[in-house]
Amino acid sequence: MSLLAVRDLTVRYAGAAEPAVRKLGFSIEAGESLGLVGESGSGKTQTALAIMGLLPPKARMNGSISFDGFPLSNQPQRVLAGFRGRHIGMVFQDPQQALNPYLPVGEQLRRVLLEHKVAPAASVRALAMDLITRVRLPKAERVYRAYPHQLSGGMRQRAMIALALSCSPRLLIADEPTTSLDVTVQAQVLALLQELRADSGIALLLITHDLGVIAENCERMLVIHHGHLLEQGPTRGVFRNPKQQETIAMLAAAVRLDHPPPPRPLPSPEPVLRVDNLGISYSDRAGSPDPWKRTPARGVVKDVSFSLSAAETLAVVGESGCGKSSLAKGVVGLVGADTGGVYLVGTELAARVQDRSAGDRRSLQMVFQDPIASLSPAMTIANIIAEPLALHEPGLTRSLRQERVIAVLARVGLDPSLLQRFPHELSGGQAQRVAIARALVLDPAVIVCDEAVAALDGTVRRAVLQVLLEEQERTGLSLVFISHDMGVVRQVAHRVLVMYMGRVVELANNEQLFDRPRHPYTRALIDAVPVADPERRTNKVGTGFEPMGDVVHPGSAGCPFHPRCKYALPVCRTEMPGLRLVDGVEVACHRAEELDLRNR
Amino acid sequence: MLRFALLRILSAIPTLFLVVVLAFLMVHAAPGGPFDQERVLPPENARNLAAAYHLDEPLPRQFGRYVSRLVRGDLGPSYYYRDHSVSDLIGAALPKSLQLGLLSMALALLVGISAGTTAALKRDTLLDRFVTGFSMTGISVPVFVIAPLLVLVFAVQLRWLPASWSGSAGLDRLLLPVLALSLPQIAYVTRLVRASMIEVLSSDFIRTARAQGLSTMSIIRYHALKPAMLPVVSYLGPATAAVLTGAVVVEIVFGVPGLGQLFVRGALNRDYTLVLGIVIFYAILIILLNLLVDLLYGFLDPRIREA
Amino acid sequence: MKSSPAAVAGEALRLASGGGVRVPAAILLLLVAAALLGPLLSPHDYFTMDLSGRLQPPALEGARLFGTDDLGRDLFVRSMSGARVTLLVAVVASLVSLVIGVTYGALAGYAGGRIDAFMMRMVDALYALPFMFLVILLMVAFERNFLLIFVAIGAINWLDMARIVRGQTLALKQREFVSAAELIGVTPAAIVFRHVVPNLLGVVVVYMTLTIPQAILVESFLSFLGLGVQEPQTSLGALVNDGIAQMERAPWMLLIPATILALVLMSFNFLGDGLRDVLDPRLRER
Repeated sequence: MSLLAVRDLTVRYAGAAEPAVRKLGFSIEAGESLGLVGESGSGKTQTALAIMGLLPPKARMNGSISFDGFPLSNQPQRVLAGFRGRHIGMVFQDPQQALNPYLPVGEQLRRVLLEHKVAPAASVRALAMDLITRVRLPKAERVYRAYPHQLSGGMRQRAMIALALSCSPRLLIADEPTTSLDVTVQAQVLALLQELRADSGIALLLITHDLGVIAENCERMLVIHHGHLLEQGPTRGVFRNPKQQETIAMLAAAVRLDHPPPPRPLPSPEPVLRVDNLGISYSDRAGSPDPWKRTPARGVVKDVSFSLSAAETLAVVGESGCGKSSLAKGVVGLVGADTGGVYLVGTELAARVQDRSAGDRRSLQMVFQDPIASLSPAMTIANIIAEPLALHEPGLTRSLRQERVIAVLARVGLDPSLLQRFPHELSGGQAQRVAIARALVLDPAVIVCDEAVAALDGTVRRAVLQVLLEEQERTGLSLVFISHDMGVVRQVAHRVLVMYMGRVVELANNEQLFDRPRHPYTRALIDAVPVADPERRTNKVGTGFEPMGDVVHPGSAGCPFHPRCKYALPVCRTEMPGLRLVDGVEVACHRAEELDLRNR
Repeated sequence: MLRFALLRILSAIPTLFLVVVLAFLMVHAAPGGPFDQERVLPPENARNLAAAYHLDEPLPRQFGRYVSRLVRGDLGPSYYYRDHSVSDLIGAALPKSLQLGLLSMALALLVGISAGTTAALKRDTLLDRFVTGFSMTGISVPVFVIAPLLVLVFAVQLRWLPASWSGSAGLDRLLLPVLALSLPQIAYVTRLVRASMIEVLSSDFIRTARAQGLSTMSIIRYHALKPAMLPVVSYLGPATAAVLTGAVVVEIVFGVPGLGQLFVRGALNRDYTLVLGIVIFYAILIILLNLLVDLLYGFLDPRIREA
Repeated sequence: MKSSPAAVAGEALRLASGGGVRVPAAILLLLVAAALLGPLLSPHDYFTMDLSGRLQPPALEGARLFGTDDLGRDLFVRSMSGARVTLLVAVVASLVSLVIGVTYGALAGYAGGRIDAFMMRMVDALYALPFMFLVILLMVAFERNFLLIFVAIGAINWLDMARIVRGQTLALKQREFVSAAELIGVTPAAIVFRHVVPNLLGVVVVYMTLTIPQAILVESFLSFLGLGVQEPQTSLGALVNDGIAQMERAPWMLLIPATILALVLMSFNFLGDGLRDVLDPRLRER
C-alpha cells in the first residue's frame, strides 16, 4: 500500500473558468522522494494544500486522497487537524511569512508538541531544543528564545523544517522550500533535507519550478502543466527521454552551467560606459526608526570599477545584500555615489539623475525587477511608452509618436491591441516587455537590467531574454545585467563581475569564469547551483562554505570572505587582498595563482 | 525599553505646553469676562474683583502666574463657584466620570473582542452578517440619540431602571449611562477586531499553524489573538477621547454630576479657570493613555521593541 | 441552491452590510432630494406656528407627515431643512479637512526625511489635544459663529486624512514606477501630479466619504449642546435636542430626526466601506 495515494484530484475555485487542478493521480511510497515540477499557476501548491486539507473555502475539491490506507478526503477539519503535523508535515516557500513573527521559535515548537501530545509537558522543552539541534541550527538555546526576525533567511527555513518535523511525520511536503533563499543557502537547506531523510526514512514530496532541484533531490518526478499531469516516472528517465512537448521546452529552458552558452556575436572593442572606483554608502535617516539620529554611513558598494563596450553584456552576480542592486542604482543615478564616477563615452556624468543632461539620461536606461510595479498603475500602456518620447522629442506630432510607440511594441514582440490596457491587466512577461519597450523607445546606449527576469517563469524568462539579446544584436545596445541567477548569467553574459560585500572579487569572461573560477567565492556560487542532470548529482554536503548570515563578519581587517572560505590562510585574516590581474582575470584573492578551482 | 518610555514622556511635555498655551489664549481672547452676568456691578467692585483674580495684569504675566501654579498642581480658583478651587471641583466630579468611563471601556473591550473574533471565525455566515450589521448601526447612531432612547424605553415606558442619577443610590443608576456610553465603542471595537482577526487569520503563519495540526482554539489563543489585538491597542487613545466626549452627553442626559457636565456648565457660565483646568486635565489623560498604548504596542510586537 | 430562507436572509443582510455601494448611495440620493425638495412640496412652511395644533402626532391628514413640535411648527419641513443644514455643514467641513489633510500629507510624504518626521510629530502632538473640548470652548467664547463650525470641524478631521495621504505617498514614492519616471527625466512636480496623485484619488475619495459622517457627528453634538446651529436655523442635532425635552409627551419629536440622522450616518459609513472594498482589491479578495 502506498503511503500517499491521490486519485482523480480536481480543485476548482468558485468563479474561475478553469479548474486549478484536474484529474491528478499519483502516489508516494514510504521513504520515497517525489518531485512535483511545473511553472507558476500550474496547480502545484493547490495539490499540496488539497492533500493537507488546507484549501481555502472558495475552493472545491473532488477525487480521493488517502494516507496509509486512511481516506483524507471528505474528512471533517477536526480529524484532518489531528493528521496534519502528526503524520504529514509541511514546509512553505517563504519562511519570513510562514513563521509567526510575534512568537519565539521555541514557543512555536512547544505549541505543536503539546497539541499532539507527543511528549509529557515537562520534557517538551528538551524535545524542542533537540529538534533545533537536529536541523543544524547553532546555539540552540538562543534560537529557542529568538523571534523569527532575529534569524537569517536560511536559519528561518531550518526552524520551519524543525517545526514540520516536530512530531516525526512520515511524509514531508516541501512547497518551493528554497525559492526565496540565496543559491548558497538553498544548497545548505536541500542538503539538510537529504540528511534528515537518510536519518529518519521520511518520505518527501518536493514541489518546485526548478528542474535542477528535482534532478538533485528526487528519485521520481511528476510534471504538471495547467493543472494536469503531463508525465511521471523515475527522474533519470524523464530527463533522458521526455515525452511531452511542454516537458521538452522546460528542460530546454533549464540552463546548464557546465554547458557552454549558445554562440553570441562578440562586442565591438569601442568602450561606451566606464565606472571608476564607485563607492556608495547609505546614512539614510529615511529608513531608520529614529530619523533624527544620523546612523553611521554603511558602505554598500566599495571601490567598484569596470568598463563596458558597445554590444557587450556585463553580468553582475552575488548573494542578496552584496550591493549589486545599489551598484545598478548608482550607475543610472537613482542613488548618488559618494566617491568615484560614471563616464559615458568619455564624459563624466553627474552623480544623480536629476543633475544629468537630457542626452545623458536618454543614453542610460533601466529595467526593474518587478514588472508590474515599474509601470505607473493609472496610465495606459500607450501613455507609459509615449511618456519618454513626449519629454525627449517634444517636437513629435501625435501621429508620429503613435507610430514610434507601435513600432517599439512590435520590437519587443507585443501586439498593438494592448495599447489601451492598464498594467495590472498584463501578465508578468507582457509587463516586462512593456518596460523594455519604454527603455528602448529612447534608443539608449546602455540598459541596466536589475534582476529583470527574476520574477518570470522559465519559458517566459527565456523569451524576454531573447528580446534583449536580439535588440543588442540589431542596435549594438550594451547591457549591464544584475542577477542572482548563475544560469541566466551563463546564458547572456560576455563578461561577469562577481561581487561580495560591496566589492568586486572577480571579473572574468563567461568561459573563463565558469570553466576555471579564480576566487573561492565564485566557485561556491557555481557549486551551489543545482545541476539539471540526474546523472551528475553532486554531493553538496560539506562543501565547506558557510551560508551568509550564519557567520559573524569581522571588521575591515582581512579578506571579507575568509570566515566562509575553506582555503583561508592566516594572511587572509589580517590583510585585505586587492584586485590583481591573473591570467587575464581580475581577482581579489591572496591565493589566486596557486589554487586550482577548475571543474572536476 | 526604559529609555524609550522616558523619551516618550519627555516628548509629551511640548504637547502639553501647546495645549496649555492654546487653551489659555482662547479663553483670554474670548469677548466678555467671567463676571459679566452679575449685572450693574459698581466699577469699584469690578476693579477689585479683577485685581483679586489678577485679571488687570498684562497677559504674559497672567500666563506666567498660571503656569507656575500649574506646575505645582494648582489649577487656581473657580470664577463661578467662588468658594472652591478648580482642583477641588475636578476632584469631586472625577470619581463618577471615572466609574462611567472605565466600566464602559471594559464592557466595550469584553463584548467587542469576543463578538469581533466570533464574527471573523464564522465569516460570511448569518451570525457574522448580524454582528456586522449591528456594529455598523452602533457606529452610526450617536450617543445623544442612544441615551434618550434608552431612557424612553427602559425608564419611561418599562420603568425598569431610574431615568437619572439622582433617582437611585444603587448600582442600577449606572446601568443605562454605561450602556449608552459603551454601545458605540462596542460597535467600533467589534468592527476593528473582526477586520484585524480576518486579516491575521488569512496570513501565512496561521496557515503554517494549521499545517502543524493546531486546533482552531489553539490557533486563536496562541497565534492569532496577540497580533489581532494590535489595532485595538492603537484604538485605545482615540477611544479615550471618544468616551470623554460621549460622557458629556451621557452625564447631561442622565444628570450625572461628573466632569463632562462640569465642563459644559463651566463653559456656559464662562468659568474660564474651571474650563481651562478640565481641558488640561483631559489633555494629560489622553497623553498618558497614548504613552501607555505605545508601551503596550512595544510589548506586543517584538519587532518594534528592538527599534 | 440560493433559495433557502437562511441564504436569502444572508444575501439581504450582505447587501445591507457593506457588500454593495448601490444601496447606501441610493438612500443618500433620496435623502438629499427630500432635503432639497421636501420643504417646497409641503403646504406648510418653516416658521409658521400653529398654536392650536401643537404636538400633533404624524398623520396624513393636513399633510402633517411628521407631526408638529411644541410650538406647532411642521416637523417634516423642519426635519428636511435641518437635514439640509447638517449635510451642508458636513460637506463643507469635510472639504476643509480634505484640503488641509491632503496638502499636508502629500507634502510630508513627498518631502520625506526630517521634514516629514517633523510634520508628523506635529500631527502626533495635535492628536493629544482634547479637540472636542477646545471646540466647545471656541463656540462659547466666539458666540456660535456659523462659519466657525466649519473651521472647527475641519480642524479636527484633517489629521486622519493627513496621515493616510502621507502613508500612501511614501509607499507610492518607493514603487519602481517612480524611479522609472525619474530616469526618463520627468520633473518632480510632474511625478507628483501625473504618477502619484492619480493613485491617491481612490483613497482620498474613500476617506472623504468616511470623514463626512464624522463631521456630521461633531456638528450634531455641538447642536445637541446648544452650541451649534442657532435659531432660527436648525439642524438634525438641534432637532434631536428639542425632541429630548419633549420625549415623554411627543416621542416622534425625538424619533423622527434621530432616525433621519442615523440613516444619513449609516449610509455614509456603508458607502465608504463599500467604496473601500471596490477600490482595494486586496481587501476584497479576503
